[in-house]
Amino acid sequence: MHISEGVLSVPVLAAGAAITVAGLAVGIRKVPPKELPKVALLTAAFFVASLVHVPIGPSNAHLVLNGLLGVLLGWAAFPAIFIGLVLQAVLFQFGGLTTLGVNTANMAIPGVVFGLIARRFLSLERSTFSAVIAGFAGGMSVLGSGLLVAISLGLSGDSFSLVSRLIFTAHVPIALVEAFITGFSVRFLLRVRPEMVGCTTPLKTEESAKKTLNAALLALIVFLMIVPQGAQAHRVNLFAWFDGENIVGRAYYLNGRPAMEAVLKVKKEDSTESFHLKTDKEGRFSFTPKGPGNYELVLQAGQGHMAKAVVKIKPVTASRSSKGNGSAQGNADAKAAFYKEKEKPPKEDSVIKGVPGSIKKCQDMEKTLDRLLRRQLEPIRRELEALAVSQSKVTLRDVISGLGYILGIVGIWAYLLSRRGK
Amino acid sequence: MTCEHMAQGKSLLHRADPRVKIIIALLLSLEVVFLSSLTPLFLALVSAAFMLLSTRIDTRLLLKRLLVVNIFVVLLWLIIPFSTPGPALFTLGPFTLTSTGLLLCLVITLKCNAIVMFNISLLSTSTVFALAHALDHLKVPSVLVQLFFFSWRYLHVLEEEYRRIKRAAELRGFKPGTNLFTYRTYANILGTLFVRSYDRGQRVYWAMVCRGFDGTFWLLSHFRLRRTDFLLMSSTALLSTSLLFIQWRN
Repeated sequence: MHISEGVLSVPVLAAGAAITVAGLAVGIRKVPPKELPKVALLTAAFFVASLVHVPIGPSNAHLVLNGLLGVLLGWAAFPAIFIGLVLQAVLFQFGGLTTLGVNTANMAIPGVVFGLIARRFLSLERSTFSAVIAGFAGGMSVLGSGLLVAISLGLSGDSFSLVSRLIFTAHVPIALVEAFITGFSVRFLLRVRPEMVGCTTPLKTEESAKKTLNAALLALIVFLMIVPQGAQAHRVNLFAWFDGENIVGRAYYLNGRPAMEAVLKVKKEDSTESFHLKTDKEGRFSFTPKGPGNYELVLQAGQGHMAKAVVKIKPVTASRSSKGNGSAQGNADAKAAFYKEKEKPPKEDSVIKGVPGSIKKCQDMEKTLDRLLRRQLEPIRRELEALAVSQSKVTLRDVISGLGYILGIVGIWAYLLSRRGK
Repeated sequence: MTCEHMAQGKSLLHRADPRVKIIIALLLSLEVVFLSSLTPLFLALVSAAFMLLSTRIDTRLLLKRLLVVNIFVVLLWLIIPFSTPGPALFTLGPFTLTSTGLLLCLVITLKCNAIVMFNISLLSTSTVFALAHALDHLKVPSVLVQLFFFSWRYLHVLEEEYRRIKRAAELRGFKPGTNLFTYRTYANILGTLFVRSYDRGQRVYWAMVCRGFDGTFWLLSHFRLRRTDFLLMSSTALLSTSLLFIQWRN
């Protein structure tokens, strides 16, 4: 699946372009002049093959064939897919210059990885087994590129989470068909022209099995690293505390955007009573609790994003009359401690000062002081909140370092492969 | 296969230097990606449309292509206004239409169409051969340029080949359906196509070696910058700076 122009954010486009340039640099080295016409002809053949519409139930889909490309061409699949996309852009105006990088990377990475792995399993003697492995590679390549498309959309903004999930789901039936087509194609090639899939001489099975195991493990690690990144791209955080009168708080996504108009379910522990309220445009909310106890807050920000927090309100003791400081989970802990420090000394003051006067006067004064303090602490509180948000945000730097991490692992893998080749 | 119809024409953009057109297309596309306010995006779209109309390509063909491009955009319009968090415009059962979502959709639509229009008017108005030559002049790695060139050269040959194989299958009563037999038949058809193209590639290589091929891509056509190219460059510079200025002002 192509991603159209103008949808993705600039960092995602830049990262895709960088990966594609790296992949092309490797791929070009794997094409000596002698192989060039063959690679070009296969590129053209794949371009033609991708125009083939295969029936799936009532509808039909066109083939992607990135897995088969990986099996046949290995690293050279990177330039082949790139050229295919350039031709599509120039001839059919499908896709364009800015998305070329991302689209190439999304299709070529799984194709090359699974293709290279599958290639190590293929052998003349076990043609059915080889076909199954190739089919698996073909299916996984399509699923992998579906996942990468979903991730590139998800990293571009929270709004795309539903779209990206739909697109990934749409890849599943196509992956199934691709698996069959790739498997049968490889079986055909093994019978007719085994050298095309790199099987001229019978392999030493023990040696090849060892190689494949290592390669498969590395590929698994790479994929496991990519998946949670996409999953965490728009997690929601909830932030709540008791300010002496109300329970107030804020909800925001990991990228720092507030969770607007999200539903907040409030339930007091050891009571069945619960009620709902909505966050405002800045993701803030506030309500007056009914007496001391533990309040359980559950935020539902839509599309299954959930966050929980518990706010404890200690019962008011007669002697001290100090109000309990609310504390919420995680990020709010530090702040709660901060309030304890800041709020207590003036309160003790008020108690001492209140000694000569009546209890009523003392309580009045405390209330006024509380209000004053709250007003003065408000800016500091907001500052702290902003700090916490900025720390938990997924920044461009994180994305780039994550990509660097992946590239590094791929580099180690490539290095190991090249050493084995010698 | 409908290819290169748009490259036939005598407009100013058709005659311009492909090197200049490639650079301008890259520059304008990148710039549109960076724009985020509605005013400069509208301006970009209008200028792209103006550019497209100046090529005098058959309008029906253009509309057809733009329609295909906008299928994905329509999908976004159906989902994004409802899945974006933001102030609600109205609620319809479980769906809430938000103004932020609508705005995002509008921005995407403008960007997508502006970029595609720039690409059609600048890239599709050159033949693939001209583009390959221009890419080589622009110091794109020779292997890539040659792959591009050769793939294009044999695209139609292989398409003809594919049609021939498929016709042979159909003459023997093959009817596609959702079953393993169909998939196996398609796989065999594709396998045959790959074997034939592989062999053809081998033959092409030998033929090229006989004619002295050593991996170098010799350039036979050279480009010269003309007055129209400078006109194109300066107007692009004017357009891009004004777009950036408006974006910066917002």
